[in-house]
Amino acid sequence: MASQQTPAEHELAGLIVEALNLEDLEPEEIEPESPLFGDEYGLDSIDALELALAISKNYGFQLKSDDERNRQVFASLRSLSEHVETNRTR
Amino acid sequence: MISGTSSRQDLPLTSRDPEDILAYVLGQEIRVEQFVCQARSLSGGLPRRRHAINLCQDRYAFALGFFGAILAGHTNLLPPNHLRATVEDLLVRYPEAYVISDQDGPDRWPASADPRPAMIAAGPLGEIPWIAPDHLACIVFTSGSTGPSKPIEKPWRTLVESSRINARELGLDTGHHNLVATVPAQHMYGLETSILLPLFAPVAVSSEHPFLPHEVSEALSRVPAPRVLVSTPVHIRAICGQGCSLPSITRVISATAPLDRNLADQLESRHDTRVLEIYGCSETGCLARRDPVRAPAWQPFQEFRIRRSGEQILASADHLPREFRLHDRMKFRSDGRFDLIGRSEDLVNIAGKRASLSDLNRRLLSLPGVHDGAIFEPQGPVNGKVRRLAAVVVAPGLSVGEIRSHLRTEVDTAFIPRPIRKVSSLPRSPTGKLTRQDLVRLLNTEGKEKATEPVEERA
Repeated sequence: MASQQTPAEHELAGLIVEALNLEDLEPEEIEPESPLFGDEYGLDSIDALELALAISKNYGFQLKSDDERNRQVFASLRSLSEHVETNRTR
Repeated sequence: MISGTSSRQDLPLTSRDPEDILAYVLGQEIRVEQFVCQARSLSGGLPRRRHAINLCQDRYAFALGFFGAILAGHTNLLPPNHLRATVEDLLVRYPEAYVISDQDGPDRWPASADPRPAMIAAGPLGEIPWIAPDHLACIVFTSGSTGPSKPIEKPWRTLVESSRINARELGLDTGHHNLVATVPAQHMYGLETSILLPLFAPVAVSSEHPFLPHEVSEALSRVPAPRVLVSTPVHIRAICGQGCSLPSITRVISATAPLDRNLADQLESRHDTRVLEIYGCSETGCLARRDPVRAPAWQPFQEFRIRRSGEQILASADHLPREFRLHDRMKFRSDGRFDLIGRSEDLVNIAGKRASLSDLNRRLLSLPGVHDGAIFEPQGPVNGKVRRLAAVVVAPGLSVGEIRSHLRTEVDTAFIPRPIRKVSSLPRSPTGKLTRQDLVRLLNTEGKEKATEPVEERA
């Protein structure tokens, strides 16, 4: 069930760990397809805002979700990374 | 209790005119008469019970549920979070409770109501309902953890009078303003500003609950000017940090934690707006305000009396059921204004949620496999970023992940320590006491738990 992080996912995982002070966690421990928010890593809505800020600073675009009920983008490291790779300006 | 047999003391559901705009739902204007008609329609179909636990996500659906329950003679229970354990606990403590939810999905509750079908009801207004002033409109629960917490009772007259005071103090009692809020309706600050205020002041509220900066921007652009944004330092920091463009906003209201002066300044100059900061708590509602850029001292609302009694600061007002203790430490100026100089020691406030450190520690120590441990605040706020709690734990048989997931069943995610550090023993004094200083030192010296333990342990 474990799946390999791509280089882009690994870079983003590092940013997540750093921006959210997840000291207990190594970037490679984030499962690409596990839910980012919720039980597994204990991330909450405050983290989502912090992460949106870190992504805009590092990748030069503003995070968007389709609508407020459907935060697909935040579903997993994989979906977030795909979104970042499509939209990044740096 | 409700109209029909109304007595002279009864207070109306709303002081606004039937044709006034009250809310914006999916781009549509909702007028007071529609709202009253829909709330009545919902109230008739609610379970024949006494307490409503309102979990609605949509702000307008929440408002319908909240007032529908009041019109049915029920009392709203407002839990501090939507954890399943929290709601289950309330259902046990209040056997006559039911859930109001606007969500589909697996989390069905035994007795529940959905306000969405009532959102299409239309019909004659009839009379504006009147409500007995002492009707217990809601009970607010503040603890950040799921165990028994002190219920704060809000009779209808308290909510009505607070709304009138807030309208004046927020400068929203004249003209007409359209309000977008990033705060949940269930939280006292969100309830006062986005649910109650529109019924007693010329204000219309967006049903949206925008979250990311661009969502805030879009929600604002979907309501006409003049716009007011009701938010928190956490959201404001994200908006400023992203250099997000916003439509014109007349005023930004911030509460839940002190707003950094530079951040307020940045928001005002970039978006040509004015920031007004509110101080209050669940017990009293909003009770003071300040201009964070020009006048950093807090001005209490004139209806409130704040006094010192020994170590405690107490607040009262004619419209509150009793005097309440404030959990911040204050220094008073000769003109009656005050400065906040810290919190009572046991209390932590994380992004507007409050918890008792001793309660969190009790929960940690009661987890199976935890021999000893302490949850504490590692440091002061770092440039506006939310600061989490930290924990050192003696639990030879548990992984950090296991400790975290055990805690999560009992404690709101905001208070889950980060980091949780496993240690061999705690630096307790001979009398068993721990100092924060020693805990911080321990946190910094003990090696952090690396991926040396099996990663697949969770199976």
